[in-house]
Amino acid sequence: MKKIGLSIGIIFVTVIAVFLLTRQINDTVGEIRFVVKDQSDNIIIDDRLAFSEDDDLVTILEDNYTVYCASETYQPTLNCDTTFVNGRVILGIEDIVTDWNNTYIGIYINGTYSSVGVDSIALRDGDTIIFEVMTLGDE
Amino acid sequence: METKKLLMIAFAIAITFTQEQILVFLPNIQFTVLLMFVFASVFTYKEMFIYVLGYVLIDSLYMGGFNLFYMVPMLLSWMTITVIYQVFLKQSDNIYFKASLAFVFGFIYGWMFIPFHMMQTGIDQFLPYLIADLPFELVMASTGFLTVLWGYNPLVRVLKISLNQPVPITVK
Repeated sequence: MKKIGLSIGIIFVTVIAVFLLTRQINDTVGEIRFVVKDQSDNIIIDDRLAFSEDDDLVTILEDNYTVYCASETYQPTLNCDTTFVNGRVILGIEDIVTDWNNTYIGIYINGTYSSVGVDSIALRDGDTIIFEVMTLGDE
Repeated sequence: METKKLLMIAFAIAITFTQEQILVFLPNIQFTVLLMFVFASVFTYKEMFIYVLGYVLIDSLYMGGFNLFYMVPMLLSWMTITVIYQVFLKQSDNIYFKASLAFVFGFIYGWMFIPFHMMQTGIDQFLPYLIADLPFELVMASTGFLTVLWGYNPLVRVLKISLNQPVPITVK
């Protein structure tokens, strides 16, 4: 009887613990460092953001900040549903907003200028993603 | 070494490998810990080493093509069970104590792989790996506990009878 009780207890505790641990792990697969710089290279935001398996960059930014995406006419809007050929375009974060014609947000991943847009950036644990306000025509 | 013991080691390797492959679709649910405990009760250190080495070589060949990052931690952890058994359990008749150590071994087995996987994958963050592996370790620990609790005494009894060794008295 003691054995049966112990066995049922172990199975019960294991199932509950595995369920809880798996949920917790799925909730935090990794963490990125997210930095926003203005035109003068001042750091406006420097945070660590946790992400889960189902997250993408836009989702975690929307969860943590006010994000301005480009509308069909490239106007800043809080609605990030408009998708262009290369995915969505972010025009601003919090108080930093670009106009696309003169300024835009350049993305650096681990110090390297990203040649792809926000929707094509894979989230990897430990990466540093920098959004920097760039002036059109500048290097 | 007796021919009977040699044959027994060969059978032990075959049984351990086969049951593991049959249960391979269930992550970390197998009878390997139980079988290690059972065979450790009748094998000496030397015989256990041959058994563990044979099993690890076959398993590594079949599962990972002699991948050292898989084979070495596996060999180390299964040898640990031998040492644990011989040092702490050989003289004990308490099945709950044996089952508890089988539970602990589930975690030791998982931890043994962490440094090797970190080297292989280049991941230098220990804590996320440790947390991610916890559910699997817990499943292995519980499986080890339950299988040893229920299966150890009957299997040892059969094994000892076939080897003409004195059958241990079971503590309920």
